[in-house]
Amino acid sequence: MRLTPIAAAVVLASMVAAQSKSGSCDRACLEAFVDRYLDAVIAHDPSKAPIAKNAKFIENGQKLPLGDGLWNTMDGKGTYRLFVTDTEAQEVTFLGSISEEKTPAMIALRLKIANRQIAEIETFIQRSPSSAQGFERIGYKWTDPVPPSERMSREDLIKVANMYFTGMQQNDGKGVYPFADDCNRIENGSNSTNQPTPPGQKRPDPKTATGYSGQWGCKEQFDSGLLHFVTRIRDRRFVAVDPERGLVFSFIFFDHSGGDTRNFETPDGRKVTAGPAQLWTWQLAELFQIEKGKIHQIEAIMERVPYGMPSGWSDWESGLSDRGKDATGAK
Amino acid sequence: MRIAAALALALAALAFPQATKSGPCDRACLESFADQYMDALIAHDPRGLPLSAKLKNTENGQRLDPGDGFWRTATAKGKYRLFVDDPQTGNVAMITTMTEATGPQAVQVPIAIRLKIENRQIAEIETFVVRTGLSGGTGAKELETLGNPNPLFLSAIPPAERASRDDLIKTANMYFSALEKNDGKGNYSFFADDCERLEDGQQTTHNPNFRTGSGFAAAPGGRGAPKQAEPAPPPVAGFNPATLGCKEQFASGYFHFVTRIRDRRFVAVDTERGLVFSFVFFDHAAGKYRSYKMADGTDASSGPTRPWTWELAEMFKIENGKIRRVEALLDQVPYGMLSGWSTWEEGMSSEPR
Repeated sequence: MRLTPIAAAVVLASMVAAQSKSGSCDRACLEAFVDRYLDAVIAHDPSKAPIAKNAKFIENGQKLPLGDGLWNTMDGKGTYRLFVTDTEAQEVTFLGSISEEKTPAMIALRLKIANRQIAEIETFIQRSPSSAQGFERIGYKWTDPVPPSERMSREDLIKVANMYFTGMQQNDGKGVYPFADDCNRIENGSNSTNQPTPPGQKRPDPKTATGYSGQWGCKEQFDSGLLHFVTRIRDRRFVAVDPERGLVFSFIFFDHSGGDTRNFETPDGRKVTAGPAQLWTWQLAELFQIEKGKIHQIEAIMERVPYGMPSGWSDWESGLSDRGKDATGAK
Repeated sequence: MRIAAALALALAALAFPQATKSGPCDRACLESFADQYMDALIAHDPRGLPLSAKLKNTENGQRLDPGDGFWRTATAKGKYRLFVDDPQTGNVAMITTMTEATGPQAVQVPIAIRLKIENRQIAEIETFVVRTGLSGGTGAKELETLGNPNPLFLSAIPPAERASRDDLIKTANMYFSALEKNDGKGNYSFFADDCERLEDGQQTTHNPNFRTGSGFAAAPGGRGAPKQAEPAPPPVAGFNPATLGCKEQFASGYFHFVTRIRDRRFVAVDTERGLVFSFVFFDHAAGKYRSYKMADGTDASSGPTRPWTWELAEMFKIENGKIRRVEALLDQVPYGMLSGWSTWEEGMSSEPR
């Protein structure tokens, strides 16, 4: 049987469609979804992105109708772009600068891809211009591959990242802190470790300080025991892992409960009172670059939210739990 | 033997007065529960409170275990107290101030509380603590400077003029319906001519000194990031709504940028005094919703520049079907946040409940 040109075209089109819908989406394919999504947001038009009919959409912890929230206000992409792409779980996460009403802001974005469509959308907008400007100036690239022989398993990468949260929660300076010597952290666009000592000032000494210092390194801060006032690090969702590059992307909350939780002892027995006096919860997206079991670099964006707020992706009990969860959905 | 049994009963009654009292909890009873609750907060200990086994507790929209949250940080009660007592449903709602933390870090905060009392036990606790609000954190000081609520709130409506619960709620809801996507073209006759509004302790009617800019202070950045103030939205040239009265403000069409007033929960009604207490959220979707025409045809561009939600406790004094006083506490929360007392559909709906 000979096909007419039109019939042939239909068969060909259906073959292409079938091919593009089957099989998993590779790194380039997953990352392309981020731009397709952001371009649709800028166009204020959800129909411009391949979003599944029943896709769940949560922005800053709140379930919203598609087209609401950032869909009304985003007007451009920025120059800072960092991906943690999880081909095994078919999740792509992104930390980037954006423009909203002509004002710089940061976005943490997670898309779950199924059948070449966006099945889940999680966005977290952190709105301070200095943060976006800081990431554009000093933010990390994280595109270098880890040599195949040195690659860690997904489980081990999550385990090391979770040790960071466990070490910070009610920090007592006595835990196991998996930091490389060159570890550095950027929070909301500023270095929150290894800051240069301002001219004319003395570098604070962890043995006498009553508050942790941004001039210290990662391990020095944790060893000091002075981060004790972070009462609870909860709803620890590790949502994307990239073993090829040694990257982990997480969403979490830091609760600071105030009151008596501000009174504690340093490892050398000094009594200290520190931390927010009023109730304080940070919502965070926190990313880790890990090699040979040690954390080298950390990036986080954080915004204050009502104390105890859940993520919209966990039940109440797991939202208040401090257990680490592999939330990537990888088999 | 009989005497001993009677004595035991009498002793039991003394030891457990709540358990043996019957009948509805009246105004004094309801207000005493509010004091017991605040005293327990200050003691950082929920154990002394008569809590129902099925207690539900939320704070600023979040479900928390009693003992967590404000239970750890509350340190003193303030003087300003404004109650809406609803013996019929067992609800007591109030606007007051408390102190959070101690020593040099102690801060006065405005607070709204709702308790539901069932069988002389607290079955529901809803607490809303304002830490920034419209006044940049000075709301409690403003209220304490006033000292006492306007006496109008305490005056009884003559029995012959009392409105039904449903009618009071209906009138209060007209306020929200007229404010949502306000266009200045509605019928605003539900406002009394002498209507005034207090928001986070500041009068926002007939007050040329009120600055809306302070209401748009951004949450501070993260550790290591400097505090960043959100620029105040540009006002409409030559127009300051705070100088006007309630009705004139609504008739101006200025508030069009309030895109959605949702999860309208009317939680306590005092028919004797003509009071309605509600919890609501005001969403400001920003973007294209910031550009509109005022009632007189002026092109306006106003309101928050990014998605912005106020959580509010808002109460109304209503006489003869007209709103004479509006008093609210408000604080910014994540856009689209829910109250913890509604389904998602109810929480996103503009229907009154």
